[in-house]
Amino acid sequence: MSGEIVEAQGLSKLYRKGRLDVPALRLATLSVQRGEFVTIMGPSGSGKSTLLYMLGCLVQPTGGVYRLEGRDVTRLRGDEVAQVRCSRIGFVFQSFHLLPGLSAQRNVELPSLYKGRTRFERRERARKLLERVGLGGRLGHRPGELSGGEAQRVAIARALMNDPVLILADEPTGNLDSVTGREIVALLRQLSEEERAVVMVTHDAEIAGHWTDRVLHMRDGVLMEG
Amino acid sequence: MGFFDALQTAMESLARNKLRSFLTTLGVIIGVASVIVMVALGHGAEEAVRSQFRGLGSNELTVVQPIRVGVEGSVRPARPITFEEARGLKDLPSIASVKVSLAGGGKVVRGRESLDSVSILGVPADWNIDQDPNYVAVGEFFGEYDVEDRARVAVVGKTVAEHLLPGENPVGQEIRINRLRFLVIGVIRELGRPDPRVDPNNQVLIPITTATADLFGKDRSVSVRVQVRNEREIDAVTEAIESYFREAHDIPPDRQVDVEVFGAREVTRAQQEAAATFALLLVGMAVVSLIVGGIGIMNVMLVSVTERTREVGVRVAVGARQRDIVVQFLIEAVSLSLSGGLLGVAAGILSIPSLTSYKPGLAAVLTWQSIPQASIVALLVGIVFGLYPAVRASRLDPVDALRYE
Repeated sequence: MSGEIVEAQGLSKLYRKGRLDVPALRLATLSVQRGEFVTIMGPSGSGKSTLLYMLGCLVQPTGGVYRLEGRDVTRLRGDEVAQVRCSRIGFVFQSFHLLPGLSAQRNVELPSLYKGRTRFERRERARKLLERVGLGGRLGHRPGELSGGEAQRVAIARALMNDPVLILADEPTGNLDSVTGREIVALLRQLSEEERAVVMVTHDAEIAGHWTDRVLHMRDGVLMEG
Repeated sequence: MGFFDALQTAMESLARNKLRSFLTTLGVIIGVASVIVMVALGHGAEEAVRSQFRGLGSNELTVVQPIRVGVEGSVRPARPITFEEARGLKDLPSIASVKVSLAGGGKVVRGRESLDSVSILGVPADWNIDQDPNYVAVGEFFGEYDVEDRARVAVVGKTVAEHLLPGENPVGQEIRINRLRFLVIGVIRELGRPDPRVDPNNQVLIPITTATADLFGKDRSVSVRVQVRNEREIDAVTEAIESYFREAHDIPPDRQVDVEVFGAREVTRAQQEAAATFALLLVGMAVVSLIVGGIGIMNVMLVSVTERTREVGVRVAVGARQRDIVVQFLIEAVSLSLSGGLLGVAAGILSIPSLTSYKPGLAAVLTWQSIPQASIVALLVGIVFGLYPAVRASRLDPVDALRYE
């Protein structure tokens, strides 16, 4: 299968701050193909996170059109957006965002709670995914008992739980040492090669240049290719 | 999210803050428990009043001492109606007979055996005059001299005799009523049970003077039942009784007499009024205590939502709908209130025996309807007070929530 996963035209976002409209994103246009691993780089406050969360349907654009797998998701209602996030998108965060009270396995199961699978299916799939990211022996561990790299692997397994087509990673190596960070990026690279698209925000130019297919730059809300 | 997954999530989250969860439910527990106790006491009091006036015929009057509520709201009892005063009513014209008694409850003990809520009835010696000749099955009834002497003698009902004095001749044995020693001199024959909830054989008769002086205290009025010769004379006799007590209690003509004379009509009306007042009081108390409990739940849920802002962000990011978030927090609130309600019912039921034994004469009748009623109310409290925090959680901006420290 080939084709465009992400197709965005003229995406904009204005935030109201008091009586002023502050633009966080101006007319961003990009497309990401199936199997592609794209990086967005830029200084803090440049709007790269806003773009990433917009691609993840957590932020609604104030202008422009966003198509995910050919479907216009720009102005979907609450439940429909939730449905898209649930089954098409997987998030990986800088500080992992695992729920501290749940075991690794239950954390990985989390997205499927909102998709209505049987308990047995959920457990099995979570176990397989944790085995796949090399944590087969850590199923019952709480996030507090895992190292940073392990926690991020659990988070990646969670992102894969509902088999999404688009994985969005917000500085996934930001809290990791460089060796562990490289392992995580390698894992993301692998995922992009399995009929998925991966979009990652990072500060690390070396990682971006070495591991990803394409690097986009952002400055003051403007997206630039190359 | 399925209901059981949501329930599991809620339970795990509550279990993580056990002490907090318990303290939160305490408001509901106390509220529900006190309502349960009050309902039981209300039913008990109603039952006691009903049995006092049961079978009041159309040519009968009863004299009671009203409880006056003073200007400052203090309860000021009127001067009690004494046995001697009541007995003096016999000399008034148009009165066929006067029946005087003093009823109460007590604990009857013999050796290691005991019966808890036995009806203790203080009566004069002529009590069994209109009963059949076999009213006392074994032994004898007490006489005029026993009443004069305030003798510690007792005539016991069948249930009391069988429980405390099985397989022996009860006459001549000693029992203790509320720690005082009494000599059993007779046993009443087995009486029929018109009302299955009340056992007429679970009673002890003692001289009314003994009951007043030693058992129930001199400040309690005896209950008086007056039989009028002719129904048409009811109003005249009512007035005669009132002026009799005006004189006996030294009430000046410009003040109201401190007794009330009731016929069957008045009793029914007064009972209905009292029941309505009590019900209103009860509803008021329930509403206040449950609002207090509900606010406690709302408060803790708001804290919980704030603490778990990031969790909400994560759940939304992985696909939770607003509805899922609302349901999750609502189930938590309802679990708190419902478990508070059930624990409150248990606490109420468990505390009733100690209350009634603390103050003999206090009757409590538990009705099973209280349990589903309390549960439904607790459920509603959880929904009403949990809704705002739950909706607030569901409206969090997911990106802000994910960045929340």
